[in-house]
Amino acid sequence: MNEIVIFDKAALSKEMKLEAKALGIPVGAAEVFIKKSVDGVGKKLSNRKIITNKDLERAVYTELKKYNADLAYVCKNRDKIF
Amino acid sequence: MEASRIILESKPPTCYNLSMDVLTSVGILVLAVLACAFLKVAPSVFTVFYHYASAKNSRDKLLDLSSYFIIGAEAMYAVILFLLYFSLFYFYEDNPSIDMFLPICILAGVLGTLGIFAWCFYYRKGDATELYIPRRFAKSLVAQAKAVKKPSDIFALGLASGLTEMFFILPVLIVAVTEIINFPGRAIWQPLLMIFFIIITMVPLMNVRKQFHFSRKNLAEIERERVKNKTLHRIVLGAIYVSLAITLIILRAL
Repeated sequence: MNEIVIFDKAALSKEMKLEAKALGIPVGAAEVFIKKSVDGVGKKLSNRKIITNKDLERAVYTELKKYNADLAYVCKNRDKIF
Repeated sequence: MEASRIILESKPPTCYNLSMDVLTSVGILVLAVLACAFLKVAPSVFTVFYHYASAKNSRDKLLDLSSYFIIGAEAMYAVILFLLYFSLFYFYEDNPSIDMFLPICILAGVLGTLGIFAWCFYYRKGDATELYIPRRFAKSLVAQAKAVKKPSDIFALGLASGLTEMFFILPVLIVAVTEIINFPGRAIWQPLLMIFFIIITMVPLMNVRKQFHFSRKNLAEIERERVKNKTLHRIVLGAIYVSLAITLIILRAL
């Protein structure tokens, strides 16, 4: 189901950092590519008036996949484990 | 001479019937335990809990904390199993000559329906392992699994995840308890079978813990494996339920 969401850079990067830590990705490396990914997501969604959770999920997955496939997969599927 | 000949002739069929009955009970119990072990809610909640807890705790502490979840989930199984055991036990004591044809048929019908349900709807459509449970409830369980820190909360989460599957578990537990009650050797075999049942249902949770802790897999690897196997899992689960229903009809109702 599509829900309208507010794009919050700080909250998104905090969530990504938690996921990265849980996956055992080194903190320094994770911080660098999470910052780049969040910036990329921001650029992608900047020209949209309404952002749904699917749009955000897709953008996050595309950006994170460039740096870490596991983190991208977990961020995409975190609410779909069961 | 004549009397001993009659005893010798009559003994083998008695032994055969008893061993057949025991084998049938064991077969039904194995199917029941497999049905419980193949359910996915508790292992999935445990996976999410383990994933997020690994970000906040050391590996050794995590091993301790995860035990509370396993104990919680198994405590729920044990409580329901013992409650059913005592209620059915006294029910049989009070009504020794009750005709079980209709109750067994109803139970088999429910199991068959659950088997078809498992085939068709156990996993939602899509490339993830979303289950049949309502989304809002699933999200609240994920939020709980993410947030829990105290051992008591982890234990409660284990209890809750055990309770979530009741829809699928209860008919199977009724079948298992009925078989255990009718199993010969009340003093030794019945408690042993109950313990065996509880231990075997612990295996999926222990497997998740093994994958995280000893095989050092992460959530992404475990989840990809599950997505790959989900069709097979759905079919096997459905087949177990349907075969349990057929076994009950053929060997217990007819």
